[in-house]
Amino acid sequence: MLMTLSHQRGKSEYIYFVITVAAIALLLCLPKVLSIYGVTLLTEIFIYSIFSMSLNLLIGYLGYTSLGHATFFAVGGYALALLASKAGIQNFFFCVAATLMVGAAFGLLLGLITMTVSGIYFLMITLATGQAFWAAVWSWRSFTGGDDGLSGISRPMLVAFGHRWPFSNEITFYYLIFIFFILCLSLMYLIVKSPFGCALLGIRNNEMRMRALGYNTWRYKYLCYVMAGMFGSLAGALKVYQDCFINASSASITQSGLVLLMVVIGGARVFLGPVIGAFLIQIIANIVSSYTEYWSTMMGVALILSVMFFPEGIAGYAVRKVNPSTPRHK
Amino acid sequence: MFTPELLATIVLNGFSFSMLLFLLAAGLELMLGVMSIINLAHGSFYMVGAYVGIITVKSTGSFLLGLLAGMAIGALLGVLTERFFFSRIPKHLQQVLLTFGIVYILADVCKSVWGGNPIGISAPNILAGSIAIGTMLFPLYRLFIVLIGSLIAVALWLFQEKTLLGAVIRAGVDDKEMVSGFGINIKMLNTVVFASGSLLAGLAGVIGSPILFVYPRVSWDILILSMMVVVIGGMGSLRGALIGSVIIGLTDSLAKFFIPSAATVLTFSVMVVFLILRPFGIFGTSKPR
Repeated sequence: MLMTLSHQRGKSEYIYFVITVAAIALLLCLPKVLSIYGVTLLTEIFIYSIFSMSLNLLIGYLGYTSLGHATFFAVGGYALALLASKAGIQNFFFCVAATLMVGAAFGLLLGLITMTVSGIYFLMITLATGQAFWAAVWSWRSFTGGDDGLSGISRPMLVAFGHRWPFSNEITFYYLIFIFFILCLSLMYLIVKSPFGCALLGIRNNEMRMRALGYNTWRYKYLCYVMAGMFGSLAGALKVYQDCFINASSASITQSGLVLLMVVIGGARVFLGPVIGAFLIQIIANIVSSYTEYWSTMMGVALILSVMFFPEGIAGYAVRKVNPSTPRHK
Repeated sequence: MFTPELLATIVLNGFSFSMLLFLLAAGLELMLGVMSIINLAHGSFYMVGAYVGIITVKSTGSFLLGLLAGMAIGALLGVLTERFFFSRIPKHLQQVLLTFGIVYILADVCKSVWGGNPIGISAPNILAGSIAIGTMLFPLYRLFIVLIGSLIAVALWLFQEKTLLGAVIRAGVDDKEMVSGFGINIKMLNTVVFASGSLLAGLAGVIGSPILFVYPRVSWDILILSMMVVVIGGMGSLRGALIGSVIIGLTDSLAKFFIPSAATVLTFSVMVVFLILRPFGIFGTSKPR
């Protein structure tokens, strides 16, 4: 399905396959050697990877930069938090499915507003919608808990195959999130490699031409936005499961900026770029925040340096080093 | 109880806020029109201008010096940003990301120098107090803001319509390549535009400090509002900035009075309505950028 081992495919496909398998094996074994702190950190990285990959559907593949993606993160997070704590629903599958539905609903609604414009206007409108949503979440204390947030959410309880699987143990939770990580990445890989994904790339490069070719570009853009929203909401929900807590900062511009930074630093034009970005940013964040409270400055400097010296991101830079003839996109 | 006095006060508050927004939006609009960048750091320039202005006023006791300081720091930041960064980064998206980075840095700088608590100053003595018009009492400072804003609006309009540089700027908004083709130094133009916009932002910061508190997060709050103005008014149009800021300012003031907890959402809804009806703003053109 993913890759054939036929020599006609070329050596690089085979190498990627081997690397992928090795990486998966490594990640499966890591909890044995890492401390609980390391396991938690890695879990967080997986969750943020899903989040940044979802944003990259918009940025890297559709070419639309969103400054309000935290909205979906918060939507998913709050949907889960409210279901689990206020509605008291413990069924894991139901909660996740419901979160996806809510995320899709938000995407469908917001997309109607945001997908009417492009480029700079899209940037502005996502920023504005993101801030408006944050303001609503922050003010609606009775529903969301505002700045104090909602707490007391318990880890998922999976009831499957006649067995109860509690995930309060960090290591078992790690494996659960890892499954989601692999699932989401595989799903996104299928999406971007499909004709749909190719159409997105076409729209990014030259929308006029796609329309001339007969594509209903608005539909593609809209769908892409909804998908990005659904994955983003899933990430938000998983984060709530990890922290057992959520507050208004999940919807803030800082959160939108963080995920944007991950995509930009990692590389928007490489499939796994955002994962690398998430990894780097989380590592740096955890190290930096133990030394100084000026995390904002670090982020700003990282963003500026990345924009000036690594416009294609770390992954983009690496890919270019390996294969200098990689086409430069617009 | 809803009286004419109350309405007049709300309207005056709205107008004075509109004038502040206009100062910001005019600069933002100019940068958008000529350089096609959204300067996300515009709100940060407002914030730094406000902080510097407040400190100047507190240490020298002169409001005028505070105003000048705010303008100077705004212009300085604008020139530095444009010269050191923008001129080295050709692509628009990356310039926008860069301004994002600047916001982060400036927020921390201000937090470390001045602390995270909101600060403000009281209006200067000659402008403090209220004035009676008819039977109603209005705060003098708010009237001052409306006056200054209107004067600057007129000055900007005159500059844009009647001076050579203004004509060049208008031409730059319409067709940058052509302007360059005429032999005009587009790089210098960019710097001038950026510096002027930032100067206005810094000025707005100082003017606004007696009525709005300044805190490290204010950069985003004020930026969103200015952007709403630009979206409603249209890119590159001074008239648009004025009309848009009046709309947003009044909406915000009315909303804060009637439903304070949902004020931002209401203001945002107004913007959404405009976007649906007229995506490019009242005075904007649908030229692709």
